[in-house]
Parts: sequence; structure tokens; C-alpha cells
Amino acid sequence: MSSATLFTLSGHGFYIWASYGMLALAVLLELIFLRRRRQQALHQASQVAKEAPARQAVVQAVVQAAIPAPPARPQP
Amino acid sequence: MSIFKFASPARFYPLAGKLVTLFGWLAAILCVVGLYIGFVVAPTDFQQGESYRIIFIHVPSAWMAMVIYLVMATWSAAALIWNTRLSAHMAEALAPTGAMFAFVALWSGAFWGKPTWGTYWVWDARLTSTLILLFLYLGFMALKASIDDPRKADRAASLLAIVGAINVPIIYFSVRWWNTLHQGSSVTPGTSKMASAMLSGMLIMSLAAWAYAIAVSLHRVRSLMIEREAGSDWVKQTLADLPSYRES
Repeated sequence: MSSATLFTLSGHGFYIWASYGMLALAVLLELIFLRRRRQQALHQASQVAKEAPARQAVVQAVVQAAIPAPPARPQP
Repeated sequence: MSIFKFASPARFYPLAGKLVTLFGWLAAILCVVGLYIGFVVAPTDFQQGESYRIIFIHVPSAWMAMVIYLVMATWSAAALIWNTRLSAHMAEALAPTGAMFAFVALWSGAFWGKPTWGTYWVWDARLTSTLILLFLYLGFMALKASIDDPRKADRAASLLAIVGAINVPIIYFSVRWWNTLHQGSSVTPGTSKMASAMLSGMLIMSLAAWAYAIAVSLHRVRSLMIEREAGSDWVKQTLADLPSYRES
């Protein structure tokens, strides 16, 4: 096939390129979404890993504040 | 040594990463070879002219849409039977790619139908059942997204995937069971009615589609595993091994 017929494809060019173009677009979009999803997942996981010790400290502080101090023993 | 050791996320994650690279390159190379054969080597069809060249993406897309659905239903069944997380993740990771192929099959079919049949769309058995396949994929994804508890979402969507699998043989045999406008199979196991260059172009493009689907779904399942298991030891270790997250 010559390069001229490759683009016009005997009058069917529009249909062929509309099909191939949509496939290319769909693949491109899927790859972009995949990349973004991976970056977001890694970012979120790193936040969780970072916050875990801090959150544990908060929980400990809250628990300690919530438990009333033991009543003073009556002096004999 | 058994393959079951890869059922553990910590082992499966790095293996999947290697497979993504391998199948990604395979898909790219096969696609270039397939398109070269499809547009340069393959002759013009004496009945359909040049527009038949849409089959090099239409047929592989349609096949993959069906195959991916069956694989998704199989993983879903495994997830329900053995209550394994990774199986449900695999099913979830396959759905968007299956939907993409179903959409491309319908779209490219419409643009093949216009010059060949004179219309973009008819409510033909093959076309309608493929449209239902696309809706099953979308329904599966929507159902997962709408249930907050991930384990419940997995179970509900798995059931939908299994029930919907009945649609796949309906699509496949629709051209035999009903009088359809869609042409009958040009390729059935063992025989083919096509010129050899046309057939080899189509088969190579199908292999490219297989490789693409494997690479993309494994890439997605890796993200999904990190999302679901953030905070677990293996995810922390994975983050520590990545240069961009090491300092955090």
C-alpha cells in the first residue's frame, strides 16, 4: 500500500481512523489513570505510615486522660 | 516451592511488578508488528475494501472483552469459595480493562458497520449482547464503589460477575442462534476463511491485547493492594524500598 492510500484508505479513512483513534485514546486514558492511581495509593500509604506513631500517641494520651486517677487511700 | 506462596501479598507484589514490565513490552512490540502486517502486508479485501482493516482492533477487542469477563468471573468465584482477598482484588483490577475493550469493540464495530451495512447501530443479537456486557462491567464497578465495607462490596460484586457470565456464551453463539446482521465467525478453532496475512495480523493483535490486559490489570492490582493494605508491614517495607518515599 502506498503512503497516500494509507491515509485516505480509498474513502474509508474516516471510519478506520475513528476506530483506531478511539482505541489509542482509550489506552492513553487508561495508562494515565493507572499512573495517577498508583501515585495516589503510594502517597496515601506513606501518610498512613507517617501518622501511625503520632496517632498512637494521641490515643494513649486520650486513654490516660479518660481514666480517673485512683482515689487517694484513706490515711490510717 | 509451590505457586501458593505467591498468594501472599508480600510475595505477589514484586512478582506482579516484574510481570507488568515484561507484558508491557510484549504488548508494545506485538502491537507494532501486528499493525505493520495489518496495514502494509495484508491485501485489500475484495468485498469490504479498506474498511475491513478495522477488524485488526475490533476482533481482538471483542475477544478480550469476553475473555476478561470470564477470567473476572472465575476470580470472583474463587473469592467467594475460598474467601481470598487477592482473588477479589484481581477481579476488581480486570473490570475497567474489560469495560475498555467492550467499549472499543462496540465503537470500532459501529465505524465498520457504517461503510459496510450503512448504519452505525442495529439492535442485532450480537451487538445488543455486547452492549449488555459493557453494562455488566460498569454495573460490577458501580456496585463495588457503592458499598462502603470492602469485604461486603467484594462479595456482592463477585456474585454479580458470576451471574453475568451467562452473557458470554450468548454473545459467542449469537451469530449462530439468531439471524443476525453481524457476520458469522470468520475464525473458528481449526478453520479460517481469511487470507493468511489478514489472519496473522489479527492473531498478533490479539496476542498484543492479551499482553496489554495482563500488564494493565497487574499494574492496577498492585495499586489496589497498597490502597487496601496501607499500614501493613509489607506495604511499609515496599515504601521503604522506593527512593521517593524513603525519607518519609
